[in-house]
Amino acid sequence: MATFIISAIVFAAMAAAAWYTFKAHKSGKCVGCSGCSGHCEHCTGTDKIHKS
Amino acid sequence: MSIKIALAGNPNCGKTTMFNDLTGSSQYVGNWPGVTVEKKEGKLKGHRDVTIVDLPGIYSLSPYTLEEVVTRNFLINEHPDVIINLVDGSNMERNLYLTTQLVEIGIPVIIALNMMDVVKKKGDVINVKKLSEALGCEVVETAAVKGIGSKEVAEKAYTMAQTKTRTVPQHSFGASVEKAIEEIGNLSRSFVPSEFARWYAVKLFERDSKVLEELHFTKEAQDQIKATIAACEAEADDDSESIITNERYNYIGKLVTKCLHKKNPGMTVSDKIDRIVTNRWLALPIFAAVMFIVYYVSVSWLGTIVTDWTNDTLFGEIVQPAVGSWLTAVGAAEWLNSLIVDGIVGGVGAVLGFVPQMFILFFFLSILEDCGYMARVAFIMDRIFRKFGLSGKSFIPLLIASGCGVPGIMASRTIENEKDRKMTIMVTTFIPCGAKLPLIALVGGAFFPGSPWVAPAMYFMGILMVIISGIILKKTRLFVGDPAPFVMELPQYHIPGAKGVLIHMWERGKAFIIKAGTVIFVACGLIWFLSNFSWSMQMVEQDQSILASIGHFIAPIFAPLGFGTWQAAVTTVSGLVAKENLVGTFGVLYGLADAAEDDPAMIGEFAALFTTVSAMSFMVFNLLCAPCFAAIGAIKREMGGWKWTLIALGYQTGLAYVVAFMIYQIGSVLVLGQAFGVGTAIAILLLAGILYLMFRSYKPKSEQSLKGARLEA
Repeated sequence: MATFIISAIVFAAMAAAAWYTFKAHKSGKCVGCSGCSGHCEHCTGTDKIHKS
Repeated sequence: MSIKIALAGNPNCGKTTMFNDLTGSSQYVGNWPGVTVEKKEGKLKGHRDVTIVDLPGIYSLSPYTLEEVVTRNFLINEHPDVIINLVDGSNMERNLYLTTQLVEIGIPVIIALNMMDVVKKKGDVINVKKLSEALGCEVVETAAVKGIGSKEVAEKAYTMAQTKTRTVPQHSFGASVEKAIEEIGNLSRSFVPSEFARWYAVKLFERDSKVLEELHFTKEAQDQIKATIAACEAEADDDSESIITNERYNYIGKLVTKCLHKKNPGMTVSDKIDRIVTNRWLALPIFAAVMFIVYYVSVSWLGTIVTDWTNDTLFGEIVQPAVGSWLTAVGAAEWLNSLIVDGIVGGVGAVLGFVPQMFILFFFLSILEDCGYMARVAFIMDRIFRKFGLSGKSFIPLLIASGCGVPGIMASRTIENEKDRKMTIMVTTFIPCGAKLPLIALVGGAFFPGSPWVAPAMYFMGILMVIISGIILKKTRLFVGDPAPFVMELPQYHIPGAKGVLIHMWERGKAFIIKAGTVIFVACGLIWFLSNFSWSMQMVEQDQSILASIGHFIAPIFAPLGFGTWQAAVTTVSGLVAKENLVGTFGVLYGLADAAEDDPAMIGEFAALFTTVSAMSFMVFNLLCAPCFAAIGAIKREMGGWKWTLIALGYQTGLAYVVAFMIYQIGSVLVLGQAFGVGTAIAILLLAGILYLMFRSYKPKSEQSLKGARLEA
């Protein structure tokens, strides 16, 4: 039971992280380029701004 | 009613600082010109209906640079309700040149007389009332870096937008020029909006190519305009653009004399510092010393102390055992225990362990940028780069790339010369970005303990590779040509603001943590799966795993570089996802999070994979080869297609392979005392080839044929 619950949480977290990365790239939101802070829109070519 | 307010002004006059202050954003601010190359928008705090637009810094509204075109297109086409024109009060004469053009556009202008803290500190006095009367617009004293006056100027701009206050330019040109502008204005009246009529007329008088393209005059009208301009030029004995420029500066000169009282017209503190740090002989040693100290403190000394605690104590003694014990206690399956402890905590923890070093490095880089020293470095490097075919303008992207390659590549947009721009994009990622720092720290700590030179050496190797590439590529048909001229204003030195430095450091560091929690997290899970399961989906030893079979397949490619093991091969490939993944993958494969890089057990694991020479070769290859996918995407966008992207990636990976090959083959003989072999001979030949490409004389074909034609004649 513990294995089932914990693995479900872990896989859900992984799926969420993957989905976040995918969505963030698509929407122009920052996914962390180690220091872009403000130039993130150039990762995606969109003109949207990530506001911290 | 929605209101749009534009921030316009010279480069490095504090627009982005004011933008952040007004909108609560944390856009990148650097104390050198050209940080903002695209407009950015944000909502004014307390007024959700007001949009503030931060425009790139420009000196004029001429059509010569990308920043100028972006700014004037925005002003003319999107017609903001008000322009806040930031004027650097410590450098009024140059800044007002743009002001005289902005007030002509027909959009209400309010002046934020910025850097008044610097002006007052110098003891200078500006008569704001007289300045306001002479320019025909309101002037508000500000010091954006300290948050003084920003809100006041924004509130006044808001009121101006609501009351639709008009700005009427107070200065006029000489009689003959005014007559010509009026005649041109009459001809162009039906082609342009009435509020922009004067601006268009002046631009047409200047023979502005972009405006001429935009307005589709009849042949007759064009001829009339040409005749009007020619008559005025004949009278003034000068070209029309110079006539306007001279008249503007004459007007500004008189205005500044009337409004500004300088206390001490002699050398400023900045001038005195510059005499030393930009000195012909001292500049480079000082720069080398500064960067050595920055990397030594960040990576080797203070950074290592903090990182060792994070790795040994936090992850090694607390997190990993606690998670493992808890999972055992609740009866979780062994595979799940392995996934979480070895895969997730091991991989993500290995990356997070280097966060302290990264924060320290970003802290120092922020100070160097904010105080104004990095702008001097671009000036210093211009002198060196110029000899090798690049201009100092190419150094700005390299500066930014020390944080992340993506904005570095993007910053190359400011380079007008297409060949120089493409070449800069190709070499930008040679500078170690923040994501590569963990690799440097890991290899440096494990194989070169107590050697403070490793981290600074990797930074200087990046610069060296840029220079070597510049020399070699400039002697090819694709990139031949003189470097573009580089004009850069050196900002005043100032003591960095704690808030700005900490925000800058946090923004860069936070991005790293976000990435560890997303991309690296997923990648570590995947690496764990691939390294623990076979193709038949059975849990197996790593050597029989899917990852091992993939690694065995590609490992021979890296064998000549000294790291032909499957582990090193898959680690190198995983770096394409994100460079932090190099350490993350090692973390999963070897459980780095529970061992410091100087742990004997871990060195034992590593020693089976690498010698000191092959470790250096592995590190250099991964620092120079094709960057991560995000940077590859940026290269594709900036290069405008796959052809040049593949050329860039091919060059980067090819150069990385050759350099790593030489390090391993020659280093094995010189350092490890191995026998001279075929590989060593090939490495020496490659070295000779690189030296030949660097020192050969090259004349472009057109020049050769011209010379031949002359000889024949």
